Amino acid sequence: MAQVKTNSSGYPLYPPKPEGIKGQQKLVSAILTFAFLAALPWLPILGWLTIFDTGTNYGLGNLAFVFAYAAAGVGFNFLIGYSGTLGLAHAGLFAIGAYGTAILSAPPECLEETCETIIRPAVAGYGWPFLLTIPLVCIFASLVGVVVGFPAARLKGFYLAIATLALGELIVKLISLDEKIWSGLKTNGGTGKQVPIFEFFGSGQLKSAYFLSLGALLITFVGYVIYTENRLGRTLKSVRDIEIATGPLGISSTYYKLIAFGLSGFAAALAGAAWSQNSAFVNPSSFKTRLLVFLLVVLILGGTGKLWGPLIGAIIFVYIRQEFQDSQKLLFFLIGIALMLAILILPKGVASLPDRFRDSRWAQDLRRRLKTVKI
Amino acid sequence: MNNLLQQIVAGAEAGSYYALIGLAIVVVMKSTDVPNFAQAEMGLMAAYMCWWLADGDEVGWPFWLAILVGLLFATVFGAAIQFFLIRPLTGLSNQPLAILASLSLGYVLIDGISDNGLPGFIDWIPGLGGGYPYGVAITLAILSVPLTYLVMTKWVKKMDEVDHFPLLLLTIGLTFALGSLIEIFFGNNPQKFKTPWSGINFNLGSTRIGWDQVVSIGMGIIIAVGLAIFFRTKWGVRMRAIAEDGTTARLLGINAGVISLLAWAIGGLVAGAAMTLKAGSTVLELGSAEGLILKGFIAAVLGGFVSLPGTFLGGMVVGVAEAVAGGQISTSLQPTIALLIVVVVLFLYPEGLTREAKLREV
Repeated sequence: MAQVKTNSSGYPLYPPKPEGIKGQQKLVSAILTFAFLAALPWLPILGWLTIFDTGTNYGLGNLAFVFAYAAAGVGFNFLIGYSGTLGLAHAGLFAIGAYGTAILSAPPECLEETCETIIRPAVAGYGWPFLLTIPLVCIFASLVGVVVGFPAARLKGFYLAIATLALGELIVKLISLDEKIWSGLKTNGGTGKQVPIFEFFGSGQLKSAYFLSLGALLITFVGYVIYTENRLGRTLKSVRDIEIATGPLGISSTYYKLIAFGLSGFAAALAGAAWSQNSAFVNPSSFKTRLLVFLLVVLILGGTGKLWGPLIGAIIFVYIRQEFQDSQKLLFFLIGIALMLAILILPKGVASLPDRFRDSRWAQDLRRRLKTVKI
Repeated sequence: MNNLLQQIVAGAEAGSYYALIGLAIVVVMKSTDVPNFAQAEMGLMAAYMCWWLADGDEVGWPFWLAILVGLLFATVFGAAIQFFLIRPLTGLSNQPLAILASLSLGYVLIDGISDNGLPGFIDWIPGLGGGYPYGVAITLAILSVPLTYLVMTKWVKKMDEVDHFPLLLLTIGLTFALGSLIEIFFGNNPQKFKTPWSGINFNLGSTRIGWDQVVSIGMGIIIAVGLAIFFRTKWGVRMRAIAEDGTTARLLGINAGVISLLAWAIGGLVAGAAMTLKAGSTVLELGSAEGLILKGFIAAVLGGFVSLPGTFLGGMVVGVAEAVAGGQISTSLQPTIALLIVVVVLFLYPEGLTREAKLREV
């Protein structure tokens, strides 16, 4: 039993920590889930659900999309769910991750000194090793995220949402302008860019994309747990809930909001890099407001402020998307309805259903009855 | 120089659409505090309605009758959205929403009997791909319709605190749903909406100006002035009172529900007029709402989300700045101008460009 700090009159300074068992259960279940997901490509047990059947390339690719969207959703959660700041530049930051890794790792235009074979602009780049580009691009994206978040110093709520939405759109616009800004950008304008495929030990594109996406999800999950269980997360929570009191307490709310923006940019770029490996082609039009809405659906449907929320939301979202891929109009109709229903009925998302059930009068009644019955 | 005049006219035309959408957003925002992202899409629905009624290959009514009915539809539609979707969240009855939701679910389930029904809806229930037996449909409907009603009446509750974010998301969802509905009803081909004045030009000096441009700009000004006059009438003053201090206004006996319904109806009407004008001047297509709504929000930001003149001027400034910068500097600059303007304005004048805006906490 750890020493409980008390004040001069003997009252404990902090509320007691929850018993260790619960934390361990969380950890064990997370480890088991990730081990299961990592083993999935060799366990085609999802054969009954064709969309996520890992025995086929189709299912493998879909699951990789699930993980990439979920990782981006966790990054969004840093910002919206945990610090309560409405930064809507996520699609632009996602695009930075996708484009950045693609351009930096693509082969340069001139392979030899003589420059005999010139590579098309759609596949040209700088020829850096792929695994090195990921951290660099993510750090760059988190810096961009901090810059995007700068209006948070003056704006709140909905106004901040509009400002960051415009900045996110601006990033995508700059990508599609390409060489008119700077010839070194090499984004190939609005036509799009081929993504150089990275393979883990010759395991094929899809398996590599699968593990990259899973890795991105794992990193963001670990980041989220560290973030929420520590001082930083608690401070952000206080910035969200009692911002008016944080100033007198000596906490700069702007500083902490910018940290949240940076972390969320990092996660978004990581997810974007994994996503681009799976889709093998990036185009500015795939990062417009539509992607932002997809990410919002993933987050809101799954559950804001919940660790598992984005993963649940991403599974539902990708399932709907694949089920209705033949009919775009029905797909968007359903996504719109799902978003509206989520806001109306489940404002905290699907991940809040267990809590909701536990707190319902019916369940409490049942628990009380079970307690009184002597077996 | 003539080139410049042409660009200014084209910019003012685009600006009047931005301004009208912005005005619709501001009217709704002022009285119900809902950032309506679906405003342009609602207007587009009305514009399609006008086209459908007036077009010779479809219904083929006389032009003015079609416009009248289409704009009436826009007004009713705006009010209906408030009645079904927004009212429950402000703590008033959620019965209409529950009834609507359960009936539409029932319709979808029964509709799935025939092969013409919505494809793939119930495919995941084994053996029910495509058309499924009558008895199953009835059973599903009998089971699910009351359940939906129950869930909707129990779970759709008043929001704990007025928060823009869920409302923004709600209207974003509405945007997607409406866009698909338009596509389902009217198809996805771009359409030409013929007006009595389309294709007629006149020369001003050596600059060629279309009558549709003049009509768009003129109607924009007329609607803006009309709104300004409306806010001085009895109902307009009540609306302003609700916007300024809802609780006190209610204590003084102003019916907030009716005011909110009215605001949504006006918003729908203005947005419908804007989209119909745009359809008459350029082309009627599905994607036109998507670009307009962001510009409308930018215009509203310039007006600080409360000021009507500020919003109107903001929309005009954005339109003209875009056209002139695109023409004089570089066409690739055009799409970024509006975004740059909003970022700069939000940095320097977060309360909007006009002073009226101080009411709202930014």
